[in-house]
Amino acid sequence: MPPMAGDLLESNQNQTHNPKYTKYEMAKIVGARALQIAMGAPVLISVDANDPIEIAIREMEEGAVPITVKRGPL
Amino acid sequence: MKKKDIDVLKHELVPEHVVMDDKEAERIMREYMVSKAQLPKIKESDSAAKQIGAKSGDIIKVIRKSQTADRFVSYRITIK
Amino acid sequence: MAASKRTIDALKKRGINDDDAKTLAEAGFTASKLRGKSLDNLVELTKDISKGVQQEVAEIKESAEEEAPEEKPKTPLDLRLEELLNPPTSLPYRMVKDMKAEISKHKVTKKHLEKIIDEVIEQYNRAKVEPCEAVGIIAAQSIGEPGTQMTMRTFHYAGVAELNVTLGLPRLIEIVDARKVPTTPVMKIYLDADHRHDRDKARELGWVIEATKTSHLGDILTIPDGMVIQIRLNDVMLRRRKITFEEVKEKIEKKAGTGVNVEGDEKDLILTITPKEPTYRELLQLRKKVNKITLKGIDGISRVVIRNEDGEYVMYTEGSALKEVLSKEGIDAARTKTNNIMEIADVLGIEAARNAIMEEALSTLSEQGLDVDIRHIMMIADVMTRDGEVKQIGRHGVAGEQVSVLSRAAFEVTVNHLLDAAIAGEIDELCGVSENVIVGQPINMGTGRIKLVATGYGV
Repeated sequence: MPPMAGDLLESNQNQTHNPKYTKYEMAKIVGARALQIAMGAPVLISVDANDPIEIAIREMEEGAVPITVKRGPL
Repeated sequence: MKKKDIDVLKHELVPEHVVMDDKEAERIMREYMVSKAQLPKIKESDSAAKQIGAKSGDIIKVIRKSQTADRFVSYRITIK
Repeated sequence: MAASKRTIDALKKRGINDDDAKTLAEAGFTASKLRGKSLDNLVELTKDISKGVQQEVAEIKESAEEEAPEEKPKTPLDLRLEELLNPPTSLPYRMVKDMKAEISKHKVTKKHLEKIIDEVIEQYNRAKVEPCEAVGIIAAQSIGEPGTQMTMRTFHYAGVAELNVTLGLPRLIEIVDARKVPTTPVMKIYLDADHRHDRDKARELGWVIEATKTSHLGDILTIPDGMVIQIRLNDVMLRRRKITFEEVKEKIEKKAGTGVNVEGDEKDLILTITPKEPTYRELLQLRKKVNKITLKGIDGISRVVIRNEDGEYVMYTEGSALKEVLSKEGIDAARTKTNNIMEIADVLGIEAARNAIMEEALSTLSEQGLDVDIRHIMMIADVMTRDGEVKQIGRHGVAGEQVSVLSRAAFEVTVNHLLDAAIAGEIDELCGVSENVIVGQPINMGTGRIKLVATGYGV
């Protein structure tokens, strides 16, 4: 079960009805996490894959990614 | 031929306008998480706003007929 | 209450006609009440009863008014579904209506109902546009692409013979340009119940609306020899347009500010107008003025065409004057329309203008056989009317919005713009797309708009 953005959002930024990550948020988080993994960051789940993007996606699915988004007006 | 007053709100093109009381307006803004400044505007001198007697600062509830949703409620803030 | 036949017969015997007898009987007259009463007594009795009936009617009316608001008692199902209209779910009205209709056809348990609701909400949220989506660009492209297939120049007739209306691309541009007056202002005037089925009444109303100019009523001659202008009135036209020569005389005297002399008999009237000063220039000016005078009707509406449409007479006009037309007696002030959007905004308000923009744009597109989703047009109408007045969407975006220096510089005369901005000490907030591309930053759309935060491990 992927994490809900609502659980992770900083409380003051909870300016949304949408507890789920949008497709853009998902892409941005996976991208950033994949970059970390590619540069040698420790993988936080046990996964049988070599592609950093794939690993990041698996981490996302398990809710292990240590990144969230900041929502609200710019 | 005599002149008659135009009842703007009766016209097909004009959706229903209602002035909201402060409590309701506040509730709506909280529910939608918007501030007054973010709402679309309507002028105090607007024919429809004038007819329902909206004053600057009032929030008007506009109940539109919509082709996609049948009926859609929108809000406008009255400005000078 | 069933009217007894005996009562009716008894009433008839006393010289009351069929219908009245029936009515009385229904109102509560009985044969026993009639026994031994003469006709005079009867009148008294009727009064009594009719009073009673009136009272009863009033009571019924009153109670009906009290109960009217809650037409049908709402079922728990209705209440549960109507909750969904409000935040946080905010389902569209139609969706709830369809759900109500569909669910009431089947036997649904509470558990199933909740499941259905959850599924509907899930599907609805999936169909929604997500935050950060560049909806404006999508709308622009969705209207722009079909626009390339539009006829660039059209001199077509929109349904009405003889009436020219701008259509196609020029019209579409006109709509988003928010012009004060369209190139071909036209109105469609509906008539009220008294006039819409009668051709003569409609025609008569047509003359009230169509502007009658001096030249419609006869020949205007400038006679330099005598330094006068002569109008030879055509009495057929006078009668057709329902205007008398006295009215014509009065109007011209008032508007031209000079005396008018009437000669001739009923059939052949000649109005002679003398300028204040007997100079040639004055004469020509007077001629111009006389040409322009509107003797009857609404200024600005140069022609009225009456057509029968779906069993009612409708007027199409060349020229538009919404306010004046709406205040005329005999027209249907609820359906009468113009294609002048700014006029609608003035007379009917900004919300009406929003609807008008949508209607005009959609009809222009669909008239050319192009099928653009209404949502894109809604988007444009919303943006144009956001600030309470109709704003143009032009080459530089929505009018009135301040445009960034960098994006202006990217568009034309680069150096001048940068220099001017530097001298004025302008600040660029870098919120648009092109500014951010210029400085090499992600743009504020889609993934570029997302700001990441590290939460640390073990969350």
